Amino acid sequence: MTTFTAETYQNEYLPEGGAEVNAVVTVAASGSAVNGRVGGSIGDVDAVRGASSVEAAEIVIIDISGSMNYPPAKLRAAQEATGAALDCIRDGVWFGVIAGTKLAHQIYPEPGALVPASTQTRNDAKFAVAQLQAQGGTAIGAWLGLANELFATQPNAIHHAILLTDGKDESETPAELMEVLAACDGTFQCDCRGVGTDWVVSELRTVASALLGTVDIIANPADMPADFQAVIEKAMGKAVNDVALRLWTPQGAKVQFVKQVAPTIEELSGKRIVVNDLTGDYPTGAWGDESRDYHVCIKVTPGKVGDEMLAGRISLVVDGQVQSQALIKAIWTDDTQLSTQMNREVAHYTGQAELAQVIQEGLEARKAGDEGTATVKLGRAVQLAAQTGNDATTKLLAKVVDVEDPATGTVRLKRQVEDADEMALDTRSTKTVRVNRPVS
Amino acid sequence: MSNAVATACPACGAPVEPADDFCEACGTRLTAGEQQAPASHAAGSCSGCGAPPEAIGSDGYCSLCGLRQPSPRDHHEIDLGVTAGVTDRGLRHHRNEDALFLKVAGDGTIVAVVCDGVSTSIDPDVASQAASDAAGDFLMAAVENQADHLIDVTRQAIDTAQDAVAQVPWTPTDDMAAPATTFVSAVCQRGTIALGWVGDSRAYWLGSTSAQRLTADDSWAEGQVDAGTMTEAEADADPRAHSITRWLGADAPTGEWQVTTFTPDGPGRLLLCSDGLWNYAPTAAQLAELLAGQPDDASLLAITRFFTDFALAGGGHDNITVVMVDFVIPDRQGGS
Repeated sequence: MTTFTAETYQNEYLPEGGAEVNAVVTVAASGSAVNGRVGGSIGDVDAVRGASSVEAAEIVIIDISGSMNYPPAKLRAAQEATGAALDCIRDGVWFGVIAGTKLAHQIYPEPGALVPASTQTRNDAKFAVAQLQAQGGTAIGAWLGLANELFATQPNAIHHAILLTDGKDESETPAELMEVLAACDGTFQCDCRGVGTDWVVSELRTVASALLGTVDIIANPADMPADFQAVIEKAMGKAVNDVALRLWTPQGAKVQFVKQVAPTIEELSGKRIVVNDLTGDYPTGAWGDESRDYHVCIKVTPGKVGDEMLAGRISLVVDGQVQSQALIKAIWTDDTQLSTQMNREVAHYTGQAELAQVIQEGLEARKAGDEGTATVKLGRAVQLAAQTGNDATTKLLAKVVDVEDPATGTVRLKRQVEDADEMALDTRSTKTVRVNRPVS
Repeated sequence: MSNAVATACPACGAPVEPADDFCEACGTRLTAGEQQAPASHAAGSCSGCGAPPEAIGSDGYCSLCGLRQPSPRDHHEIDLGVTAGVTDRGLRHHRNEDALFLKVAGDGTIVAVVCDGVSTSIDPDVASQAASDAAGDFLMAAVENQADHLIDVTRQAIDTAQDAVAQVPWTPTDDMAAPATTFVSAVCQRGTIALGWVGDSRAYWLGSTSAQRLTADDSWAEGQVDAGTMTEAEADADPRAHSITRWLGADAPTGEWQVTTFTPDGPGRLLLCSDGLWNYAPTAAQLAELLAGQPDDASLLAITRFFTDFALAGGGHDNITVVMVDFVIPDRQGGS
């Protein structure tokens, strides 16, 4: 059974009149022990030994719009990647494949339902995928809408989809897409992948954020199979669905924001579900054995010096049960030595959030032709990435700017930047580096 | 204090009627007038917003306004007649990091320990409690076993206290030091006082004919005065005055403990205290003058409460702990 722990990192001390409380909360889940080997049959003793198997449903959604033929290698890679993904789906997991144009076509199994994975059904699905031809437009909302209907046939399973597109969502309006996203909110999670460089990062990011998934670029179609495998394997590790982060704050307090800050930055404030006047739930989707960090910022009514107040109480809601607890405290003091220290976890993630923001703003400015702003923003990004040890982001930035001095953030925009490099920096701007803690 | 009637709740800002006793939006008690005086809430209700006892969570936080409820350690008194002690959180700290040990042994010997946790260390309240309990228990056991050399026993007691604090579990962080505390102990037996101390908690003799400080702080200020570079007043006024040079804890400097004996030549009172008191009356003369203002028949408990209130009235910037011991010199044989 999956158990959760939650731990707070913060400086509780506020100066007289201080009202803003910042805390990093680490939530860790363990004991998921999802069982069942790929290739084993349902009756296989080995497959059901240990933890009870988890009901899951997986849908692979691939773009077969006309552009997928240019070059033909793209479609072939997508077909191969789908096959690789199917091979990772655990026996017994319900699955289906949707091929997308301006309409959504369920190509396996027969439209209207999903089937449990087995050697037979996986092979049948791969056969159907091999018959695909690319032509037509792109309407991501339609594809997601169909996936939603199919997931509804298995209401008790953990719902996950992987979506691949190669271009803009041109066959529907943004409003139509937003409507579908609202309808799908909370019903399934979707990891999005863009192949090549003709798709729009902000479009796919909107889908991924709405559906609690990741977004990434696959610049080279040949990399698709390995990436799909990784996504599905991660999904197969999920053991418990619909976990919510519950936050209580006292009367007179206002939640400024709740953000996931590791492994990626996700703003969760807009997804808050009211539980009562003082309590709200933030959906966090399905969990396997993993750990995520959150940054919580609460504005409280200041107490008197010497008061200690509970500014926030964090707990995890799993299957309707409240598990674990972490306390966010506020203590007012006139000892400036105590109140002026900034907790290093909070400082680190505040820096990582700023890093993501200046990258996105810098890239936008560059696209708009505002070189001055772009240079300042991307320079600040280089400085922050260096300071916080975010090597992955430093490398990506180096493809877009020439770095003169990382310490001061002095950079020059490169004249020629590969679209793929620019999009890689954009999609991965929200990937953070974990703050390192002393091993106790 | 203005007597104007509030029209908006001081806690949440919601509009309120003049006749309201409680804010309808957040439950805070509304007082027209003195906001400093704590409202007299029903027993068990939240000391901040007046919420009923059912609203207080098991971990001591009010589930409406979040305020941590006072703990027993915030104010604690011990009255043993011939000796009494008070420890109090003060007005500006969120918890009491002072600890107090006070007992009378079967033969009438009095054992007193006062410890003051270092605020910039982790879990100073745990440190001070561990030190005073360890040393107090050790001293009592030694006295019950009729130990002779009380100075040696005092040194060993401080060793025990040091071990106890060094073993307080803690997780290193960048900013805070290992749990740490000051220490002062007194064993009063047959007209003699054996004292031991570490840091800036103090002992004073307030006799009927003389008053003096019995301990010399392990502090920056005391070092200056000792070296003759500053007067006591100058040193006390310096911002560095209270940096202690010795303490009990895992990262404490090593060396011989400061110990001494004192045999009063007439009746009087021994006073042990943390800096939460002596900051407001540092010299023995000032404390003696305050004591002289007390009625002759005042109990020791009343006098220790008086000193505590004096520190609170001065601002109560720190935790306050005061212990007093009555000394009546045994009659000499053969008359006057």
